[in-house]
Amino acid sequence: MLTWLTISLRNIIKNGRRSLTTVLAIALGYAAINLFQGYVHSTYEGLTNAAIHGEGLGHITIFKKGYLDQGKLHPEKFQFSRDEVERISGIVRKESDVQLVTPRLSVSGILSNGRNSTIFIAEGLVPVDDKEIRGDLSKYTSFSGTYLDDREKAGVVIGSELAAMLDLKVGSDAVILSNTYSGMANALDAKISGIYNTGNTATNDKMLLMTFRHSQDLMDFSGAERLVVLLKDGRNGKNLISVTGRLQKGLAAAGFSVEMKTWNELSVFYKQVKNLFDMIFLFIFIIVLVIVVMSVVNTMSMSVMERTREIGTLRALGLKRLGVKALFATEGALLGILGSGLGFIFFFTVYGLIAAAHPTYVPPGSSNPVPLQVDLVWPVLGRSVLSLAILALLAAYVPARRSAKMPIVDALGHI
Amino acid sequence: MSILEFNKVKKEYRLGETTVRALRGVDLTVGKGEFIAVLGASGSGKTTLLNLAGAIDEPTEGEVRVNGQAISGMADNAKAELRNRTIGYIFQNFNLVSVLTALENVMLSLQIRGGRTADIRGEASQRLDDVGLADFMRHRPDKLSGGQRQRVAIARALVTNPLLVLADEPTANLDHETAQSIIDLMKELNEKEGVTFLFSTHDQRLINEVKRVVRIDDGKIVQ
Ligand SMILES: Nc1ncnc2c1ncn2[C@@H]1O[C@H](COP(=O)(O)OP(=O)(O)OP(=O)(O)O)[C@@H](O)[C@H]1O
Ligand SMILES: [Mg+2]
Repeated sequence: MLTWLTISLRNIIKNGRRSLTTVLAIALGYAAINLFQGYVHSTYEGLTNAAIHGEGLGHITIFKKGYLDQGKLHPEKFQFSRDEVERISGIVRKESDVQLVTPRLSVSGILSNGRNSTIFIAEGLVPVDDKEIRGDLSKYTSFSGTYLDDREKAGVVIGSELAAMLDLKVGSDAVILSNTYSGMANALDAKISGIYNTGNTATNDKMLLMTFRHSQDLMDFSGAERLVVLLKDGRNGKNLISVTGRLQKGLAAAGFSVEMKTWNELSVFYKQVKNLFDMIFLFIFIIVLVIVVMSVVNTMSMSVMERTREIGTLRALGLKRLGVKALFATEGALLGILGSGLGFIFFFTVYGLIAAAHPTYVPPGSSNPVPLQVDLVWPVLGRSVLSLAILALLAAYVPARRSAKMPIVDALGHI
Repeated sequence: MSILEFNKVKKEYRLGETTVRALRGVDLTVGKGEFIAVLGASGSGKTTLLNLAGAIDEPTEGEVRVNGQAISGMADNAKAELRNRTIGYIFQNFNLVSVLTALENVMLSLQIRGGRTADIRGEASQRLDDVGLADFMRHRPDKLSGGQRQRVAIARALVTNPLLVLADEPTANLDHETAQSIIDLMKELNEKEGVTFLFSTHDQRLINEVKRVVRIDDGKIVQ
């Protein structure tokens, strides 16, 4: 009711200093939550891109059933044959959201420059498909040389740390050694066609990318270990789950028993960062929650105490208990809204400063500096106004309830 | 029909071990259009009596009927409505809401009841005019004199056209002259509009012209 709003607003103004403290606490809480959310949002966006395109995970990976449990121990048992690759790819391609499906083969072994050698982990990729998934690799990272190309079957692209360890340059010759699925040692010549930073210190000294046909030769195998599916632009979000379900059904109907994993299940890095951020957010949120609730409860308790006689008067005039609660809840909610409003200004000030200054930093586990960015996420900005207002309202409700229960005679006698 | 009825009403307050017997068996009937003064020394039970009459307290024993309804055991919300619709309250220390203007204070009783704001504003300003405060509508209580504040409180009590207006020592915080003018105003409202008043005072001088005086001493009506 308008009168309650008037009374609340005027009391907030009347107790200016006290109200300001509470409003500031809420404002800082609002700004903190939203700046962090904006930062997390931009980071997730970057991480999502990095996982799907940069890491080349695509959206969905199809494995033979059992691969995820035992594939590392008995890789030979969980490979798709050439025939299976073709038939599965055919089924997957019929799904309208799918842009492409491409086979992959993982290999590990030893890379040698003729004098020294070290271990590598490798991915056998179809160059044209991979270009479509990753786009221009130099967009994500420093890249020198040229990318994989089927016309240059023996060309490999390696991590910059790996290149440094073996003193390999673009154009250098090398030898790759591995065991085939039947357990025979096999060695092939390779030529360094490109060097790049994987963006992750854990893989930058091991990673090797090779053409799919080259990896098949190395393993002496004509099939693939897994199939990677890329969805059309903008089909990531909600579609991911439904497409996965449809593919699962379609393949089962055709008699294939497969397992599927989406990019966010496969990207260890994404999962770790997300868990970390979720923890930090929870932490920040709890601190803000406690500060806001304590501040509002404190302010409103004082308000209620000072206005006990007023409450008694209003009750004598016929105001119901609910009305008393509504009066103070309104005041609490108003504090929440004013606080969020001011917090919104704080948020935009910092947002503007960040947008203007373009600061960068090197996150842990990363080998490249990335821009510190805060996204504008309007739904979150709006939702936090609402939640802080409700929070403040509930916090005000506690002292209001106590005073509404007080006998009117006692309230009137209160000095 | 009587507006207010006290039937062997007793009221006790517990203060730790001791029990204070504020009212010890009060019988009282107030009819429509009456103008009654309750006279008694400090601590005699005037406030207790008026609180019971105003349905903001309940008797320990006996029965209080407001407009025919017994207030004991009535639900809290029903009592709130009874207060809002049938009773007007004037307090010794005015009890105006400090952040509201004179007009808004008067509007308050009607707003608790509900209705169109424009109508409420009209009625409230009419009432303020009646008590001689037409020029002070936009003043906050702290910009008004004691007598003016009590006039605002009277307007607030009367704006709902209550059956019964209760005033607990409405003049105790005012100088004699202003006190007399407040009593005169209440009397005028009683005579012109037939508003029923029940007010308490300990000042003998103010009630020389009051027809019905209820004397209370140590929780009992003595005359
Ligand atoms: N809430 C209470 N708790 C305990 N005792 C009370 C309470 N209210 C009133 N009393 C006691 O009841 C008796 C009657 O009090 P009451 O306030 O009705 O007298 P009064 O005539 O209004 O006095 P005054 O002229 O001082 O206002 C007094 O002895 C008082 O101390
Ligand atoms: Mg008294």
